[in-house]
Amino acid sequence: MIRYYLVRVRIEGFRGINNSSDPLDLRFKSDAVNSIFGPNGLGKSSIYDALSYAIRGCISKLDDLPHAEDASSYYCNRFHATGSSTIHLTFEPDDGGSNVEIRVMRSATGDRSVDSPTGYSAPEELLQTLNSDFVLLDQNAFLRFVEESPLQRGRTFSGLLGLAKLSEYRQVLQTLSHRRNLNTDFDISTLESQLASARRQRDVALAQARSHFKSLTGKELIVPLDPHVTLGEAEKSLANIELLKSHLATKRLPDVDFKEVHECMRAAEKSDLRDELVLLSQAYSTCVALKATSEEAVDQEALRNLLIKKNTLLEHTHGSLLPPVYQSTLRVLESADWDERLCPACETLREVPLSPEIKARQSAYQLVSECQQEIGLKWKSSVWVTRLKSVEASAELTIANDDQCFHRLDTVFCSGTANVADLDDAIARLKAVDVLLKARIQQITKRKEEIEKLLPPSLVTLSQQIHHAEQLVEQIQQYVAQDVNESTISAQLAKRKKWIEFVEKAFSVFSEAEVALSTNKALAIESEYQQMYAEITTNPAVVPKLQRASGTEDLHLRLEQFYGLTDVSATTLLQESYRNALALAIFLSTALRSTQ
Amino acid sequence: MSTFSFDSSLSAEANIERFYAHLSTLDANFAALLKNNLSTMLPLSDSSQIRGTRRVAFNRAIMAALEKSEATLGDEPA
Repeated sequence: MIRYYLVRVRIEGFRGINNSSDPLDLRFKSDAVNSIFGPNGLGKSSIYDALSYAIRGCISKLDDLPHAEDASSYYCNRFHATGSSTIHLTFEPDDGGSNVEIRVMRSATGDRSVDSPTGYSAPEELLQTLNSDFVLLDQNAFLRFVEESPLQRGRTFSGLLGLAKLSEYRQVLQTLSHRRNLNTDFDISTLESQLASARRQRDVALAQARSHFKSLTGKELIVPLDPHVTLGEAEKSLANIELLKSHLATKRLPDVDFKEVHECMRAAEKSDLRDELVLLSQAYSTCVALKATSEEAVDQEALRNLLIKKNTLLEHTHGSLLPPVYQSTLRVLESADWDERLCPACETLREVPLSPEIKARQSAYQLVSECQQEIGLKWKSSVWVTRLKSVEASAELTIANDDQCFHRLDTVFCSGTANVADLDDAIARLKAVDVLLKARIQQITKRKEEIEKLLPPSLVTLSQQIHHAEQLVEQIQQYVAQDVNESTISAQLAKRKKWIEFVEKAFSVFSEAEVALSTNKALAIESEYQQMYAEITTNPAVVPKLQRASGTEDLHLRLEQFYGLTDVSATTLLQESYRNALALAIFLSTALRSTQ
Repeated sequence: MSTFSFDSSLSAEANIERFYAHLSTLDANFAALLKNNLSTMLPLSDSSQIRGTRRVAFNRAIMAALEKSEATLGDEPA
């Protein structure tokens, strides 16, 4: 790779250099360290700015000023006759080839153009190759390196070591593998809740099917349930019933029109009692299906624990007015022209950057929000909640709309404002309607027994068999539907969890490799910057050391030796000039290593 | 899965290619999916709000790709 030495610079009309029609002309030696010195106000900084504009296309210290300062209109010299600037750079290649001259111009309207009077084919590309992290260093770069956070220092150092792109990839992978983000973005909690709900509904359908199958055939249902075999057994039980023969002769049980069967029975029996018995059997099944299950107490306790957890999390927040303030504060802190230690609200200068503290406070609100979502999902997926809704709405209990409380509680739980008292209210309400339900079942049972005594025994049994057959078909269909639903959600969840596992592994692998590479590179320059620092300060009692924190991007500036003390903080102990010397030693040793 | 390390004699781009090749030994489809979509997360210099929006869009693209059959994963940018 050819290296280019800057051997001449000519500047006209740029920053503090006017030199109209007579450019400032500086020549440098390619085989020596060149220095420029002179009294204040002569244009030394303008030369640095001109090189910065030529190579980077900008002057950071101007661009970082507030927008109102209109910094772009101060690139060109304000007193120059044309208001435009010209910067000529002459490079000497180290392969013995001819010098390359590049001209960078900035018009009065701010347009930049680059060409090569010596005919170099790609002048802009050549300038871009010079734009690396250790070219054009100023005192601010040194100060930032010493004073910025260990994380930011680690990233700057990665740039110096030529690892900026790897650092960038690491940050992206870190964002993508953040577990809480993944759970939110991939709807993991929602899918898990839907899966649990599908399994419960499938199990309820299976239990119902088992009960009706036993009543119909006198046999135990074989599990896992095979719909074809089960329905075949049911059809055998019904095959000898004269009234049903015509209905089952050419059809499978699921295809039988039970409404038609009931009409046939009604016609055969010619009795209103028959109709009432059918309705009572249906009402009985409806009511029994609404009875409590053993899992309800566990679900209620889980919901109670979530509500208590939310209250605990709320204690770490400070009301609903602050989140937008935190959001605005963070946007200000992250803007390029704001000192991240300066509080945007009171303009107090803090010792450490404010962003981590603001993010921690936002995180407290995020945890409350997640807990509220979890409460909403738990409420929606709990069987007892579904039961409360169904019981209140059931035509069997005829509860007036004004007396129903499910919809009010549903709004409270889904909006995230529910508390333990609301849960107690819901449980108490469920107990109250369960009492009504029990009374209704007793009433139905009593009336059924009365009718059964009045009807011929054979038809009573037949009526029950048809009812069980009809219910069996319905529950098997429900079981199959929920089984398919469960399989679909399971597959979806498995795919997403597999991705999450993959992306977490990817970050872990990348991070370990990047830390190892960076650590090795830092170790390779250790003796160089330590020696350089000792030569600059002529003080062997202080020995600096860069320490990469295990598994993170943090880079700590430590002192291996400090007048007999070992492993102490460089940032807090070193005076400003020594800090500059340390940063200078690190930057130069890194730059020297990169050119080897 | 064997240990992976970067080669200090190679450029960042070449090392990242090696990283993807290594990930392919874990899951070739997922590695291709990550590679094809990762550039949408850049640049990092934007505000945290914009980066958050990009992350959500990235994960939505991944979810959409996961809904396709496993065989087609990673064949094209999502």
